[in-house]
Amino acid sequence: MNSLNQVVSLLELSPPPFIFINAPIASNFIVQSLLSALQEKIRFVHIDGISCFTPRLLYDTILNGLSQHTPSWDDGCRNWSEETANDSMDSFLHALKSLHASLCSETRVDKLPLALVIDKPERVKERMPDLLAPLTRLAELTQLDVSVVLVSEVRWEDIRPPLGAAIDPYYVDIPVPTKEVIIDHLVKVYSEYSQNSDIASTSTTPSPYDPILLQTYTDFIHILVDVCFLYTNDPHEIQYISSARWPGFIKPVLDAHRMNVEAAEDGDEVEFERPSTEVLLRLTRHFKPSLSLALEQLYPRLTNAADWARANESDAASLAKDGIILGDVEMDDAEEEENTVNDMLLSSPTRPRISKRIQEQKIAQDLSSSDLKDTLPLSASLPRLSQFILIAAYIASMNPPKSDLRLFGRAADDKKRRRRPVKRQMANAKPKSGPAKIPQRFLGPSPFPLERLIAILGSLVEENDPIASEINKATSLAPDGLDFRIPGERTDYEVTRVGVYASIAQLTSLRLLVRTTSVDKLDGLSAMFKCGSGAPSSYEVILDLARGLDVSLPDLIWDNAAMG
Amino acid sequence: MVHLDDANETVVFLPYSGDQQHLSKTSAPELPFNLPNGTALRWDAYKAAWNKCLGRIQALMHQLYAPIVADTVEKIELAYSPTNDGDPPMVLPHAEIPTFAVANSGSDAYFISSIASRLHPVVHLYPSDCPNLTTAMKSIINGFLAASKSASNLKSSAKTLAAYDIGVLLAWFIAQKPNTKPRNLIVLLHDFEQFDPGVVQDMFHICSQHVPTLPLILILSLSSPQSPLSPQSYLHVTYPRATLKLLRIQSVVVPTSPKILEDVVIDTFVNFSDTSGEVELFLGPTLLEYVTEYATRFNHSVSALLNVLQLAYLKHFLTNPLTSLVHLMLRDQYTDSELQNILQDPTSVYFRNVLVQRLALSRIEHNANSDLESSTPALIRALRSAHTQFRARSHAIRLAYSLLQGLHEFLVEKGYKGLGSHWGSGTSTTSTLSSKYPQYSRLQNFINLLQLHTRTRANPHSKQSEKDFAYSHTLVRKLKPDELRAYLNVLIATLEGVPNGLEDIFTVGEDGDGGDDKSFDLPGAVRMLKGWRAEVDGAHEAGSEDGDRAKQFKAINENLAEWMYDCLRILTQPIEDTPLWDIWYTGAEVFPSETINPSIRASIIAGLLRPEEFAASTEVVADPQGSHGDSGKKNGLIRTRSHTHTSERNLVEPGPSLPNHQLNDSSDSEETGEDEVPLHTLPDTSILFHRYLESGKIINVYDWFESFHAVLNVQRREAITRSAKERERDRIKGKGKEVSRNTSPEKKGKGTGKKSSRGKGKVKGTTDEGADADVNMDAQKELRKEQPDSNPDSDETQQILVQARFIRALHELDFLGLIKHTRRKPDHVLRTLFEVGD
Repeated sequence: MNSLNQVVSLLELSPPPFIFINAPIASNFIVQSLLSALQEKIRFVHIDGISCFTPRLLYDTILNGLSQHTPSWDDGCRNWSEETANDSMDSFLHALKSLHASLCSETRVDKLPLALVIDKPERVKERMPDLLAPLTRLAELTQLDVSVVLVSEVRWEDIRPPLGAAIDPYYVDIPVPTKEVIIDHLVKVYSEYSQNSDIASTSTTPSPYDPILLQTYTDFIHILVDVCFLYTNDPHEIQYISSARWPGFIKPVLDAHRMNVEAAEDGDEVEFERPSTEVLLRLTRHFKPSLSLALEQLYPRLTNAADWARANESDAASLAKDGIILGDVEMDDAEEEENTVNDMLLSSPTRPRISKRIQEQKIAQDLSSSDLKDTLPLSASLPRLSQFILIAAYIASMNPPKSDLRLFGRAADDKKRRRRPVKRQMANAKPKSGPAKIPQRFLGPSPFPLERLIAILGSLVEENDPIASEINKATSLAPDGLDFRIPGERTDYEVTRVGVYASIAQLTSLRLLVRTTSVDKLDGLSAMFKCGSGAPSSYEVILDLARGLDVSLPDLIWDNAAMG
Repeated sequence: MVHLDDANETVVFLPYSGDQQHLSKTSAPELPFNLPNGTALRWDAYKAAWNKCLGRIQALMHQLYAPIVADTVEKIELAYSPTNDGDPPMVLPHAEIPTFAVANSGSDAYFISSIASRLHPVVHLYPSDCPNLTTAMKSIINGFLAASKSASNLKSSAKTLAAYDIGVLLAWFIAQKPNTKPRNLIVLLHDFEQFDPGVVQDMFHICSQHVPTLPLILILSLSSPQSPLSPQSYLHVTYPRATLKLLRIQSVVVPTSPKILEDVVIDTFVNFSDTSGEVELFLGPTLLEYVTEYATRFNHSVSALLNVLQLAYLKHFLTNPLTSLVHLMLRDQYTDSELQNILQDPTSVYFRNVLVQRLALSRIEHNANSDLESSTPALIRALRSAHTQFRARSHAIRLAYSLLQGLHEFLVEKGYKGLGSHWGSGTSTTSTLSSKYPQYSRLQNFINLLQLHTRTRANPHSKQSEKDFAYSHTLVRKLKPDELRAYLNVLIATLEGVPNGLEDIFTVGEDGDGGDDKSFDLPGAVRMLKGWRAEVDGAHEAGSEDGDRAKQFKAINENLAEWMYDCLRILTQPIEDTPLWDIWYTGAEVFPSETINPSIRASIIAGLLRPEEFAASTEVVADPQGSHGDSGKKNGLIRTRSHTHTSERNLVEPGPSLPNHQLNDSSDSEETGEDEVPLHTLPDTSILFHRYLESGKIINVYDWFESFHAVLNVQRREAITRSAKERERDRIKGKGKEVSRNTSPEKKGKGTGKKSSRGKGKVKGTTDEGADADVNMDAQKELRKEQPDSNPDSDETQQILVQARFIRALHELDFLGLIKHTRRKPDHVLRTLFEVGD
């Protein structure tokens, strides 16, 4: 934070032409803090590297931003500049100069320092590589008091224009946010919110962001940061989790207050008080397991904060169990529960009770998480043949091509010629020299030609698809008048049907399979595919599919040892 | 004028410019016994029947989706409205775009379109709209401006914001008047998996910068089967966390499981509905089986089902001349007198004869027969009664199904096993490996009922229904008194649930000639059941001695079980027993699966190996002389069927269809009796392919050419022989006949001026007559004689011609993917096809 303050004072006092802020973590947070610190101190514009994806957008944004001009629909979205300012760097520089002049005349000063805060400059460099060098030398080019601040997750060395075209920046490195920084930020957000909103006066129930609760919130944040700090130290992320959990956390206290108010005689004013330490401890004990659950589900955005908060509200019974008293008015059964809990407390040491409670919590968590994912297994939503294709694709992706004949080959007498792959112990006994071979599973799926997929599919269908085999037996009665005498011919016929190719195309469009060769190339090598990332290349998912189809997948994987 | 080089044209239409006669030969053959305007009538009938079926399925889909559509639309509309009191406020670090990820694995556009139609304004984005960020942003902005019809206000110039600047949208939105301001701006991304993730990431980022000032809402139409919020979903696998955290994703999972499909099929073809919703064509067990098989194996979306059904309908009406009656017998379309006129028309005499014969077959009294022949009103009456009988039968089977299903559901609800696992286990249909199509157990049970009396097929399930009947008998006998009462209520409700107008249909059913034991008296049954219920109630309340009561209940149990068993037996009489059933019922007709799901490789190879069978069949079918059902025609059809694998059935044969194996036998014997067609009579590509199969892994192109050349030489000699024979014949008959009569039709079509009888053109589909030796000798002489006095460069021309034909055939094989080029050896190509089972 100190370094950020440095930047602000530097910009205020004697702005250097070019500052580079490297914030490897939480650059969004840094940009927001910087912008709010600069507010009212200096005239600046914030440029987002992604939003300004063409030079024209960049110029327009800078000029409109510095002049604080908002294009309006009624005058046809005109820009600030009367002249054409956005067709080249030159016209932009001219416009910037005249903008400065007009600003100076407005404010009646000689020199007005300006600042450009460019967020994600690496994207600017990616899209407009020629612009980065002039942007860094803007002060030099315009002879104005312009400083350019780049805030990036990557280092300057990685985006620096070649041949020393850009001047060297004033480097600022932002350290990884510490717990204190995060807590400070969250408390600041809390107090800002509680001051801004006019919630306190509305109803009998105080808002979860009531100023009285600030101390409780700070305690809560300490616990939350302790839980999350190991996994993320982005203040925004922790804020996200806290915004999902805090209202639920404090709800019992608010409810208790509401009940008190309702129970109170008319005219008695019930003061809303900060919950006592004991209550806080009980709350913490009750909600702590849900904090890590929140981290698990919210950090990868498996759900969103609002939905998560809704799904993880505590019910009265479990609250009562943990001795969180809902005001003076208690429910009878809750009291009973409380009694039993107390009995247990008396009769047994605390630890086992807690472990039992954690177990219960775990069960509840499992339920809620399975609820949340609401998983649609592939086997339920894909037609049978598509499932076979996915299994075949997995096998083709994971096995070396040379193993196919050994795993799927059949002798003429229609007997399986399946040879077991070499046992793991054998491999261990003779350590090979040279670099260790990484199992395919860790390398990800390898591409395979379409023909190989079809061939493996044929083998799978022949041996594991009861429908095809049933038809095989009743060949003479086949309904479509086809006659197959050679074993396997029927399957061969089945797996080259249009439906199979259509299924493969369908799976490709679902990105469950990925086509690695270009679509418009018909000639030459045949089409190559590989398993899509995610579910289709996960052993567990495919194993699940295979179980449903009675395919013994472990027997068909060459490098079985690696599958664990 | 066709510009083949025009890069802007993706498709070029080349109109057929050949001989009209040739064209007409390949058109659909006339059906025998057809009415004079039978084709048109059948087409009308098909259209009416199909539209009815389609309408019903669509209505069902609508009904199934309606609640979830309403729910989703509500959620979308409220996405930006302040949270209700119960929900605590959220203090988020940044604004999130409300995103609705719709997992629509069936890929039915129906759900998305019905959502979109209820929201406004919606911008539809397709993957092709977003090749890069600029275009994508422009599409979004222009979409909203166009939707509000204010696009004309903005003239983009260098002095204004760029057209792809989100600032434009912002300015527009702010300028909207409060009363007309849209509450939400909805962007609907179709086929979300096809979008370029890089573009979409940036797009989302830009949009998120202006939320909630711009109330943007994203709807992502995903077709991947996983739920959009699982960690392995497309969204989570493809997009980084930085993008995901900009969105507030809510998942909407559209129910497109096999269950929906089964519900639709059952509701359309099995469950009762009011008479207006009743479909006219009743599907037979084989077709329903194909539906289940196709859905299990390939595609279980409802649109695929529609394709299959439409094809089944089309085939039914195309191939059976009697189906014109479906339309003719609708009372609101044709009055009796009109129908009478049509039937009395002298041109429809064949049609009438068939009708009379078919009706006579199913009638016992012969005196009525003559009556039918002479009097058209009597015929019409008979037709009407046939229709009624058919309806009775089909409804009876459906009633039987609903009785069994009702019993099963009742038992499952009471905590029993029910009729067994193949009837589904009530709440969740767990897959039972024993069943053929585990996912469609209910449909399979109905198919079993339909096949109850078909014993020809070695179907393991055909006995299943018998077992079910017996088992239901046992189960009903064992019901406890309480359950008995409850079940009687259920039963009465089921029977009373039969829609009005259908109650008395079962009694009409047999017209009295089948004997009393074969008709089912629905009102009577209801009365009887109510009587029993009263008895049970009485016994319950009377509280008489235990022994008495038990006896009473026992008696009712026995009666009910007996009644149920008899009732099921009566209700499941085969539909095929009714006269003229094949008009409204497809019976054991096989679905033309090759038209919807052919095996391309097999067809290509078969076509290359035996082209004559593909080419010859059309000729036979098109033969106008065979159109009255003589044996030649029949053979032709059989040939077509066995060779082209289109499984076109013998449609001429009325009545209970010809068993399948009979057809196969005859075709088999014919096939084995056939001799190999001489190589030189095949088309060039086939010749080349035959030689291809004989070669090794790598083919030397020159050797290949040489062997091809040799075959062509034989071909040439043959042609000369034939022309010699021709000349011989001409000489005998006298001159003045056209010389080129014997050249192939294709050659005529091409209209190449060369009428030389050398037969240099392709000789396709020739009917080999077997040259006799005498003429052959002549030809040899002729060849020798002709060679010197023909063109001096004849050999050279011949050489060039052979080369050209070789190259063309080679390219054809190349396009079929049968050749792979290699750089390892010049003049060599690789085979890609091995071990063809000939």
